[in-house]
Amino acid sequence: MKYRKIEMGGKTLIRTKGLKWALTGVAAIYLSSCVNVAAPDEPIVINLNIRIEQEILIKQAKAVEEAIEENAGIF
Amino acid sequence: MEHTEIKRKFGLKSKIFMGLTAVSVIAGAAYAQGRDPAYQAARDNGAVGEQTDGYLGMVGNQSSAIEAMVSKNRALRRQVYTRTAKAQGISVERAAFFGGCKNIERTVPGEKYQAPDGSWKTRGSGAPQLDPSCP
Repeated sequence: MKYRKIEMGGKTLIRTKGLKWALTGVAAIYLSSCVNVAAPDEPIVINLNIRIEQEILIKQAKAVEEAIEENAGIF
Repeated sequence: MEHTEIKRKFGLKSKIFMGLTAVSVIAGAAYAQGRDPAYQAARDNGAVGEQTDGYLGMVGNQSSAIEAMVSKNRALRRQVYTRTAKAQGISVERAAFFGGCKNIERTVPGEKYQAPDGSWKTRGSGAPQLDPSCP
């Protein structure tokens, strides 16, 4: 680690370059710690066909179920 | 004090719920009594079971009387499935398949049904094995 000795009235201050960068880094994290939401370049595609098909299926099955209940004697 | 009161309220609610469930089960059993006694007996003793294709099937070899009964039942069911299929604009096989899902679901413990692999199973207290394509 690189450091600089500064002599001040008999006291020696040691300043390291690494510490300086580390403090800058911490400050940068604090200052930029908000959530960034970026829109994707490609459009978002949601396939609704699956849901519609499922609903049709349920409707058909329901119709069969009603027919079964109306003819409960043979089912 | 407040806690015990809440507990008691829940207790009463679940009691009412259990009562209603019991009533609906009895009502359901009464509703299912539209079956011919011979057909009901064949179901009860496991001579016949519900197939995945929506029709009644014989479990192993059965008497000619049961064979005739099953054959008649299958023809009647086919009529019902055909009517529904036409109304829904789907194939008879598809309507019958949906019927099979429902019929297997409707079996009661002790009755036979066909598992998706084609083997005969006896309905237990839990849910039956249904085809993954069942809605």
